[in-house]
Amino acid sequence: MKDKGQVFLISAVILIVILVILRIGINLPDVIQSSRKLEGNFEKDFFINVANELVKTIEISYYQPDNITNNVYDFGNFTRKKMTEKIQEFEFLYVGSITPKSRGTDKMNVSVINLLNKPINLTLTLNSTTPQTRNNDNMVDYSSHDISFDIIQGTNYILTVDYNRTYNENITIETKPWENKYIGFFDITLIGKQTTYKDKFQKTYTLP
Amino acid sequence: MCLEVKFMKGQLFTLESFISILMLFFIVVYLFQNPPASPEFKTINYKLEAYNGLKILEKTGELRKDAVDNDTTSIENKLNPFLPNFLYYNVTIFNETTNITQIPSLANEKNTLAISYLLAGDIDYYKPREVIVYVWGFE
Repeated sequence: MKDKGQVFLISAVILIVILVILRIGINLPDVIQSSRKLEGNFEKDFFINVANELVKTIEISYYQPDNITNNVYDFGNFTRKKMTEKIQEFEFLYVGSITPKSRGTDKMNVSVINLLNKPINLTLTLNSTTPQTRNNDNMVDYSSHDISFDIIQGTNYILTVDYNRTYNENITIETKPWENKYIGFFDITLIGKQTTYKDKFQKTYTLP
Repeated sequence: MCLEVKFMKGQLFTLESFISILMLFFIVVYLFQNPPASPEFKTINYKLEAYNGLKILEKTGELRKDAVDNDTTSIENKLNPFLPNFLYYNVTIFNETTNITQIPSLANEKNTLAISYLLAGDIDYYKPREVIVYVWGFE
């Protein structure tokens, strides 16, 4: 080893080559995966925003119970329009029921909103002593449908929502003679660029 | 004579070592001065920063009120702490059919982002709004 200094130079060059290779390859797949994950989180946040605002629509309409279904339908349409602009799909099924404050036998009004991007063959069944069934053979997309059931105040019921014989969901209906009750059932789907987000939930309100 | 050669060799050795250290130093600084990030990663971060800003303003009730009042200046001022200083941004409010406030002219901008937030209205007042934050000024 006559030229010890040159050994340093050669070692430095080798080390630089190694560092460059490492830097180029460093976590690139991880970075791409992380950015996809972040994009996914962003879509999920947007889905939560939509779900929260659909619920908020009921809370905002609290003092005008007659407007609840119309406002939920309107906000569903608004959301779908905005989703379409973003090349994302929004599917929404809503069932809202209102039981008035009264004693004994009364009517429970139920509204169904179809924003599922397809017509449905809808069946609603209430598990009263004699089960009551209501059908709508062709409930078109972008529509709402109002029906009523006979109830006895103070009794709890199960309302079964069925469409196209592929969907079956039970909604718990609680009635109280001294309270105006509103129950909203939400089935929300957002088909994002990477993932599909789905949520089903029920909210119960005591109206003034 | 022999001493002179030895002295020269010593100088050369020092010089070569010094050059090696310099080369290594500069390459390390150059390669690792910025953390590895794809441009896509950066834009998503800006999107998230703007979205989180909107989310926080919504939680405090300020966004809801300003959106219903069509007050974009107020929203822009409140968003300022959430976005990096070098970014430009503008807030536009839409109702169900059209924009209520002016959309910025971004035709000459190479990269732009649009971050959207939906609102059903304010307390006891159904008035659906879409708040869009347009962000530009990044590579």
